Amino acid sequence: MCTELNRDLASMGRPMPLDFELIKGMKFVDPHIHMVSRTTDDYQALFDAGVLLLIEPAFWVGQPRTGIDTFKDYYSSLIGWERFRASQFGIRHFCTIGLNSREANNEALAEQVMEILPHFIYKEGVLGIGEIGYDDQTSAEDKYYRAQLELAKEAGLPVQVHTPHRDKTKGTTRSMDVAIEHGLDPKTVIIDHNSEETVKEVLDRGFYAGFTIYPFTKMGNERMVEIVKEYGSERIMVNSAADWGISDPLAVPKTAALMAQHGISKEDIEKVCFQNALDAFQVSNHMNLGDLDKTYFADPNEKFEGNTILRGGQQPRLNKDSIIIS
Amino acid sequence: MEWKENVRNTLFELLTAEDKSYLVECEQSIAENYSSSFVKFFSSLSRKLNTSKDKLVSMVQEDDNPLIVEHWTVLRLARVYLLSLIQDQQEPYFTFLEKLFNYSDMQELVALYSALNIYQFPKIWIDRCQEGIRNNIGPVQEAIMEQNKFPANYLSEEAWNQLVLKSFFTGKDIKKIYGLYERNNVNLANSIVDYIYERDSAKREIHPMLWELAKDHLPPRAVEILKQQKNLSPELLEKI
Repeated sequence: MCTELNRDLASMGRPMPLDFELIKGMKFVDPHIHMVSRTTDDYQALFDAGVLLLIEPAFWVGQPRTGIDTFKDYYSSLIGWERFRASQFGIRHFCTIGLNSREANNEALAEQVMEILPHFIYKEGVLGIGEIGYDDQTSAEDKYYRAQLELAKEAGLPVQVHTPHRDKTKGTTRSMDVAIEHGLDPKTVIIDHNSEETVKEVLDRGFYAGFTIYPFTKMGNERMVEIVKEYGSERIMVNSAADWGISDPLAVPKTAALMAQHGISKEDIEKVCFQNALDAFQVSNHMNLGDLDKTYFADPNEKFEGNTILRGGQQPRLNKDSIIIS
Repeated sequence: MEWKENVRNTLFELLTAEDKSYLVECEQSIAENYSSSFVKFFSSLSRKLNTSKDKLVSMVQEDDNPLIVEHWTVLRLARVYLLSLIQDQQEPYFTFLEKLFNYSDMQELVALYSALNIYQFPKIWIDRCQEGIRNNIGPVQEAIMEQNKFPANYLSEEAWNQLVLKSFFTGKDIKKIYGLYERNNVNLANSIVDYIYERDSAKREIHPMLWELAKDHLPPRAVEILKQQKNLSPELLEKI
């Protein structure tokens, strides 16, 4: 989630041309991206850059929800419409379902959300519980974080943990303490939005460490390169967390390209930008990973023959250079 | 009911021994108390039938089978079969199934709509069917529009016409619409002619099945457009 904008261009680093030749043929997973806020252009760009699979955690949609039905419809869209929309662009869409920390503070509503969560967490396309955790680190956030950890434990599902912007280090430590207190295996918990300050402890304690490459407010990918150089590629993964704020859905392939430019080995890039996410979220429980290589059709079995949806998992392309729309 | 037995036999032939015994367990629990057990079975089936769920299955089409099973996945057939096991009074039955619709994922929706024609109290499902036609997810639309006997059997003319028109707009396999010719009507033909004019003005291709359905009600302007078409069937050529 993006909560503050610091549009200081100097903080973007020196401009560098985008060179996808370095990562040609590589495949990627973006384990944290909010496609409900993104356009069809983004889906096409993701497909072109080799992102085969993405994970969309349930999050705060920018406008506070005031009723249970908007939560229900949002969860339904993550396992329904958005999943189908992704498939039309050749991309496999999975999600995690949960009550985000910010809206956990509306306790009356949070109680109702907790009641409907069990209806969604076993559905096709749901990999785990997320994104949950702390934002302001209030007692209400703590209460629902714990309740959802219990739910994850009961269901045997991985957890995707959002760590706070403010008091990040303390909040990250607390997120892990509480997960362990509730008896979760660190290998089933992905601690997200890490920084140089938090990575060591997360890895030392056996958790997965997610890094969000998000301009201005989270990690930059040059810093990410340094992290992989220092800590290696075990249990580390990068994501874009692209959403309704200024963010970059191509953060994963761009970071992979930058790593390649800086001499990080292909094996390490593959782990950080593909395999670790598949392992952490136990994707092989939901699909045959061997099928990931096959270009995805919206329905591999019978659909779209003689139909307007084009084969190759691709919707028709607009000619962006033309003022003609036909 | 013989069709249900046939569905069961077809399904069980495709399952592993482990899957079979799981389904037998489902059958028993649903018979005992569907309201407490069904949701769990229905939802988790995609994981339970992991080895066989994507296999494709077709059944010989028979008049007394309310279903048309052609290239269904085993998962879809298994879910529809489980749905056929639920029996209750109208009100609890409706409330229970509506809840399944309201909390369903994409593949569950496909199964739920595929099963429209086997539900008890058919007329209470007309609104649900119309709602499904408004759904934006391709496979869900197909589950209703293609090879489903419910719409032809129960939809009003107005709703039927929307189904057919929407099938063209969303690129469905028109020939798979059950009852297409039997339910053809002049109001549909008029809407189709309107669509033909729009396609012609936009210089876009005109689907040959549009002509098939409107051929008995073509105004002079449509006949003129028809004359410009290539690859017409002999029957259509006679209309010119």
